[in-house]
Amino acid sequence: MIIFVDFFRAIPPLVLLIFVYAGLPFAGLRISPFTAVAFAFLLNNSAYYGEIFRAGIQSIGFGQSEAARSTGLNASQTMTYVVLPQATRNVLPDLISNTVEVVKLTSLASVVSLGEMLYAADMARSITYNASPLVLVALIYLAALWPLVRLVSHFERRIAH
Amino acid sequence: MDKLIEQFFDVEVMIAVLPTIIQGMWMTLAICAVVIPMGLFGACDLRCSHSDGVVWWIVCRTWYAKQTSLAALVDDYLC
Repeated sequence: MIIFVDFFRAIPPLVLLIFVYAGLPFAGLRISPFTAVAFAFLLNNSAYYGEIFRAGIQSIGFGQSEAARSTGLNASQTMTYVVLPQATRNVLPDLISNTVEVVKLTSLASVVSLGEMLYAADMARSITYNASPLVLVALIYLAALWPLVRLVSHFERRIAH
Repeated sequence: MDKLIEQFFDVEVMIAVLPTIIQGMWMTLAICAVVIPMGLFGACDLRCSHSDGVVWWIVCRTWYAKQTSLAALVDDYLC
């Protein structure tokens, strides 16, 4: 688990994406650009989300687990009903923050010719000889992500008090 | 200054390319819809289990599920 998390946190997502998309066909696995993007980003983000959850789980005192176990809950019930709800609440700002990063990370998908928003804007830019489509995409990202960023600040304030 | 505005903030160009950008936005949303929930649940599974075997089983299961369902669906309709 440590190797999985450390490896996928350390490796640049772009390199991972190119490896999955262009490298796996040499091993006989031919996959579509969408699957390659989803798989590469999933590996990358699972590692980050995993670390966030680890911090959350460790922030819950061991007494909580002991109290839950003493009431007759087994290990997985203790985790599901007692530890995880509290842990998730504690790390909610970080989870949302990482989600914002994931949304911005999707722009890397243009590298493997997947027709996502930045790729479409870049194509439009090359046709119109004008950088306005890129600004439009930036505005769309801003409009979509700004409320989430505000939400992170709101949760941070709530948890701090 | 006019050149800058013309090159980066040309509203006519923005309106003209909006349908293309919107089409790209659906793909971006599709990627997010696959990556974010699966990343969250995968990571949650990963942290709640303490065995490397379980971790790799989750990775394989996620890969298989994605390959067969969501990705295939998106490939068919968007790509």
